Amino acid sequence: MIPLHPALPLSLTLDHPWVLLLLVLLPVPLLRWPYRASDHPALDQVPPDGLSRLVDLGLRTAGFCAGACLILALAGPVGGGQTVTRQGTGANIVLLLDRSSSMDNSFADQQPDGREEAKSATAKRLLLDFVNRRPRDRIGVAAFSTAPLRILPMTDHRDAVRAAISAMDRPGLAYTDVGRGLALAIGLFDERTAGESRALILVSDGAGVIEREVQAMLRSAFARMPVNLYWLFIRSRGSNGLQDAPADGTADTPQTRPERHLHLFLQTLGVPYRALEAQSPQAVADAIAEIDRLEAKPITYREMLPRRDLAPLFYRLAAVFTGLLLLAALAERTLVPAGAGRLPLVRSRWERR
Amino acid sequence: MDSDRLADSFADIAYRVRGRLFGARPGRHRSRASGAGGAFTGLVPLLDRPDPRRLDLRASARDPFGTLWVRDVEQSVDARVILLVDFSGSMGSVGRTSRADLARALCIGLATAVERSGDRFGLILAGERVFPDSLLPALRRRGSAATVAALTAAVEPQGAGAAGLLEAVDLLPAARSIVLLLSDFTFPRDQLDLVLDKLAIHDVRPILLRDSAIDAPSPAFGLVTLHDLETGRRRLMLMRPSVAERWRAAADEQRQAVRRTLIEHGLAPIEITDQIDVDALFDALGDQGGAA
Repeated sequence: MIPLHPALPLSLTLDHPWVLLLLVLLPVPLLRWPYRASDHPALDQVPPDGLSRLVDLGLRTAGFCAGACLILALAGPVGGGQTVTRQGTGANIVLLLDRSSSMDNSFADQQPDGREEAKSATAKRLLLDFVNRRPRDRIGVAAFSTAPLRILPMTDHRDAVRAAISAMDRPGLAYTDVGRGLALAIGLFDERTAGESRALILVSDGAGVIEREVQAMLRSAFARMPVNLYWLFIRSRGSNGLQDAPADGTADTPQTRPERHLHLFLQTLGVPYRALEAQSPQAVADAIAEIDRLEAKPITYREMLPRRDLAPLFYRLAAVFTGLLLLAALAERTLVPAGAGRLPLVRSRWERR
Repeated sequence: MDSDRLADSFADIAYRVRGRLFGARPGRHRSRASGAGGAFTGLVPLLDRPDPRRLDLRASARDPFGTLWVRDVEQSVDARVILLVDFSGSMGSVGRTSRADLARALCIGLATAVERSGDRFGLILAGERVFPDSLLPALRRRGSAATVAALTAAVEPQGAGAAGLLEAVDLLPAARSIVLLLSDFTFPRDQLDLVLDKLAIHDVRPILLRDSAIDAPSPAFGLVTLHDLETGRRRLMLMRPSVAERWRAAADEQRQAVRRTLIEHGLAPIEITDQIDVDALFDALGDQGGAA
């Protein structure tokens, strides 16, 4: 890997380095002159000419450079392509999205009708803004419905992240298996992120019952991998809040009040946890801004430099140099003009001048 | 042109040696010996030369003291004509004509002319060394043209410098001969000096071969790759009118330098440019003989 210039992040790598063996041929244009030579009896008697020497040197150099450029072009030069590690401000974030069909309803828990957008559409729009605002984050995406869906591992690729988020307003599925979704999401964090900010953002408008064994699994998973846990609870109007204790006469069980009990469960996990309730698009935006503010710590992120094929550049250079050689070939002539025939050796008596 | 026609065109060339030769065979050249059949040189007393066949009656009768006078005439002898040809690499150059072919034609023609004159013809070809298989000792022979044609055709110009010429000088006869030195004189001046010093006892006729296409090249714009026939060096020239002009001037200067060196040795070159002009060669050889 040869850096072209210390100031440029661009560097040169070769796809077929063995082609460089051809470089041993490079001295040939310096030593051998391919053009037709005219014999001269004694070159010492030809006056030296500076311009001719310059042209000679220039053409030899052009021959050398044309060869070098061609061989380099054949070797498949590529600029960039490698990853660099950088420091920035951001977080490792896993978005856990609710794909249950209730997300397709508006905040009034009705079919969206043009005046009001669906909860999923709002979440998508605001999450996209969030992702765009935070270019240094590494983001993974998971979703859950009847079963957890592993959508995107932790990555720097913003386009992939945006695509994954954009897909969340597709029509959802039936149920809400939040427990196993959380287990999958926590599994997306990897060990490399130790010491950096880690956040798991659960975006959902409801919850489901978490089985006892899944609860145990989650407890141990969160103990191994401490993360900042956010629950962006997109609450339909009229539905029960997270904090409200049920009115008298209503059973306070996970089956009747799954959101409240999930909230209680998450509080017991032993990790920093914030629940952000949002009953309108504006509230969702505020909640996301809150997360944005909280999750800003130094992060080591890796950036991939774009791969650039440099072969056309070298072919172009080679064409320029070869063009110079072509000009020289076109300007070539012999000392005795080619059209001038040989004279007879003996001048006849009638031709005497 | 085949060698017979070539030989015929040279047949009338005549030359005379400068100075006088020693020799026994009768020929067309002046000698130091007095004998029969040559030019009248003076009267000698009969006692000094007891040859009563040449008694000059008129002079003897006129003499008041009664001395008998005998006419003294110079013996005219034949000459040895050695053609010493520089066949180094530079002679292989080709311009308007091939320089080597020009030299070969001259060898054949001069051999014929020498044969017709009744003189003895010798040939030495010298490149970096003398070509040992192409030596022709100075003898009177018939049919030189074909022999010389075969000998010269068998060798190609090669080698650098004038070392072969120096070597060839040692092979020349010790007695005064006519040495036709055929070369393009591109070797260094000091070597030419050395060769001419060693040739001092002979009647030397330098013949300088030139080619107008090489000495004054076409000024048309273009890239010319030059290859030195002796050193093998290559040089690229961007030919254009200014370069052609300087080139021509340099070639002229070189030619003048050769001429100056020759003049220092009391010689003048016979220049042959591109083609052999037999009549001009005839005149030049005759002039030089007459100037002696």
